[in-house]
Amino acid sequence: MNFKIKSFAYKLFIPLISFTSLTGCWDLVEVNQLAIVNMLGADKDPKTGKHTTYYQVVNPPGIAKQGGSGIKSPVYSYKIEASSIPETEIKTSQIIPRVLFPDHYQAIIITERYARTGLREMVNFIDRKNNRHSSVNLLITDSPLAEVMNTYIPLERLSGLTLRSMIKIQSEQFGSASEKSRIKDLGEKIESSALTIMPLISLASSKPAPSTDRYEQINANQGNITFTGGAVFEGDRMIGKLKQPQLSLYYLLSGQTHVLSQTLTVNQEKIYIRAIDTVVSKHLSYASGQLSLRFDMKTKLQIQANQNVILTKGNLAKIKESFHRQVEIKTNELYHMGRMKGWDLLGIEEQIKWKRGKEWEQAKKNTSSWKETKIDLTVISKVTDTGVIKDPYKGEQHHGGS
Amino acid sequence: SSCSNVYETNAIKLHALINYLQDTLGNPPDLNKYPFSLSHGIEGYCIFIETLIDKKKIENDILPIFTEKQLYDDLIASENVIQSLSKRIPAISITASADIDSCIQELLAGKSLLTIAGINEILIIDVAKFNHRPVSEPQTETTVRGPREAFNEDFAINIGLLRKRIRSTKLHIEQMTIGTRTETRLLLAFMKDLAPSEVVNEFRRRIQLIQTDSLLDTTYVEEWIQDSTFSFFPTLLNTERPDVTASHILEGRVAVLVDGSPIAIIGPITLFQYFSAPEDYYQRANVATLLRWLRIWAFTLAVFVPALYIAVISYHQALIPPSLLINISAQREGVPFSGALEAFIMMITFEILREAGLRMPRVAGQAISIVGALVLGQAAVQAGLVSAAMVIIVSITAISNFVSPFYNFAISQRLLQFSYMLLASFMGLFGILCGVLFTTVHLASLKSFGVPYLAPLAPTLLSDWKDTLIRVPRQWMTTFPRMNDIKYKKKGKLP
Repeated sequence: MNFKIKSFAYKLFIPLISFTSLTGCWDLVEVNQLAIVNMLGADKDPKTGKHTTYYQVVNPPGIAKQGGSGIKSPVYSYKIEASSIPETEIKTSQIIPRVLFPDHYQAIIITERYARTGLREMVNFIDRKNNRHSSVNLLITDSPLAEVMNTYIPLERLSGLTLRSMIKIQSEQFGSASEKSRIKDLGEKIESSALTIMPLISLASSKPAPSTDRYEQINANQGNITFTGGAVFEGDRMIGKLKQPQLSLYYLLSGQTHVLSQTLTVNQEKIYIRAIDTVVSKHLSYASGQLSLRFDMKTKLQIQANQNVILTKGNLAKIKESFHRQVEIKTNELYHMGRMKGWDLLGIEEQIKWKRGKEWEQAKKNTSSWKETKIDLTVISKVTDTGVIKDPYKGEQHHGGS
Repeated sequence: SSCSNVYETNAIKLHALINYLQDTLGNPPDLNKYPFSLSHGIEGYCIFIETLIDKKKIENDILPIFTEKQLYDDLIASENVIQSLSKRIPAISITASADIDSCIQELLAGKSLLTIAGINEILIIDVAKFNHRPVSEPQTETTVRGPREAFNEDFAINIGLLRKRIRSTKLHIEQMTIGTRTETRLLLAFMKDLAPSEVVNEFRRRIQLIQTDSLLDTTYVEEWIQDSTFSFFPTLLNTERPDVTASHILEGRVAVLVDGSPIAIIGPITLFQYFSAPEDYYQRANVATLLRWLRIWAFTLAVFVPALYIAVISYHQALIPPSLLINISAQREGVPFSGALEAFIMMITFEILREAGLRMPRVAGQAISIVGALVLGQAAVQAGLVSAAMVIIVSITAISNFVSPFYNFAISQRLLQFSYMLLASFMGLFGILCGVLFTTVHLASLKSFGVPYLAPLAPTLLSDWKDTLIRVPRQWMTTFPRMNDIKYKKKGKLP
């Protein structure tokens, strides 16, 4: 019996001793000692190199219904000026009374002038920190950063969450934004010749809404943030902007979204079409000195509005044909617009790099060979939502009774 | 003449015996010495303890015999007085003994002693009638369907409840007597042809090793014969249901019953048996399977929820979704205790309430529940002492804990739960992981009477899985559990 107790004590003793060598209590931090950062804004003066960082820190009682403390502000914006990113972090402790908790960033907003000088330093910093996940959304703003960070947003009270949900909704419903606009998506392309596009946002009005009084106002646009287009990046540097319609086509062709909305003109009348569940495959070939890029698109068409062009068996093929032709034309336009600006939006150069074989050597040598590419696009489509097929309201005046 | 001398001399001895008896037992008020005399002044005594016997039997069946004239003549004529007496007394069990001390022992077991002057042996007549309650419904293992009988404190009734269910010659019931002072009867029930003889021998061996002066309940036996004294996990099953006991016996296990205890203990047992309630066998298979999964899930909740809460709230806030984190943070705004301390305070308070609920008189019940609801509920939250999330955690844990079909296993859950809470409070998820590994290793090393505790999972016995994580329809349960190492496999066939 004595022996039994002894061996039992040893069994307990050894794990207990080894537990003491493990990291333990010193990691402990209480939830309400955390400054939960929801959104981060960063600017860098290209002349002085000075970093200005805004931390939008969540004020939990302002969001949760509990307590009834009367504090309404859901977030507070802290501004920190420092000469480098690591110094910014040190300085946070001088102004924020809680432990900085950046794990739950939902968005990072960068000023256009900072983006144009290159974001490599920041991407590297975020990438190596274990508590800052690089899957946070990156957005570029052309409005003054102070105003973007110091404005309350209606409905969804956390700006970071708002931006993230808006990107998701746009990506899924309309294809006008891509969920692949995170820090890591930029990081992956920094060392390639392919371009990346990050969403561009602006303040909806010239005045921000820096007081919680705005929650009591009906005009939601006042001081709100809107998506205005895309910021084109080459490596870590922003090189230009892309407008909304071209942005959707770009996302679709690069496989980041699966939805495309188009307005067609058939029989001099407008038809609104949405292509859903679109799958695009591309094939680059090189024959007798000519590069050609072929897109094969498979999609389902939904006719959203067709007031005067009622779908019949007769014009079904016409509508489809019109859609196919328009997408092909717009793809070519996108390519040529990019070629003029020197932006390889269709990622042709990157594809050439991956090709193997003697016949590709010529194309590889010439870095601007992508500019001489022939673009083809074939579409296989199926109409799944027929729109109006019978007797819409015509609005003809009805005169008197019989 | 000479005969009467003999009687006379023996009469003196008889008085000495009575005196000895009174001295030994301390002349208790319920010791009854009923004198009677056969003709010619031959005296005798009918000695019994009133509170242990059926007086009617003595009055109606035994004493009238001694007033018969015929008896005296018979006794005179007879060579063997004992034999001729026992033929006339209409009692089932009559023995004779010359050893006075063993007779006293029998007296204490509810027998009546019959001494007649001139006869050197004392007759021991079984007229025992102990007070017991009638067979009632199970208190802790209730079912919606299925029988509503429970064991009670009477030995004979308990055996009867078992025999009623298993009318087989193979049902062996062995009796042993344990406890130097209490001389408690203990019973070993098993199927001779199903229970592996090694297991039965092991039961016998361990029970014989019990060195105790008193044995008042099966729990005493359990502590002596269980495989692991300090393990959180019980290695024997407790039940108050004869149907559960019978079903285990019919699967080749051994049941132990103790006189005066309404609980049977059953072994060998495995971990998964603690997740199967009697209800499982009284509901259809698919329902039973669902309920079983629910119980496993409830076990996981009961053991891990408070620990996980402490771990994520104190160490791994990044694991909490942002909106929930903000919510919890808002709730904890102004709570003066750390997450771990808060959890311990609440869990211990709940344990105290539960313990109070078990012990308190029924009349005080309402007061306790009101106070309990206030302590663990809204008032505590409003006072800012605990967060609302913690109240929910305590409630989930408590309710999940009550799902366990066996009370002793529910206690194991509480021990585990507090251990994990402790580990989580100073090592976070890492601590919980350490605990899980430690528990797994421990479970894998545990055995119950030679059967691995994790069987049929480890060692893997696929054919036993049909009544482990799932319960297959009864028609498919054609084999005996292999983990018990039963001699033959197919059910329904008799050798």
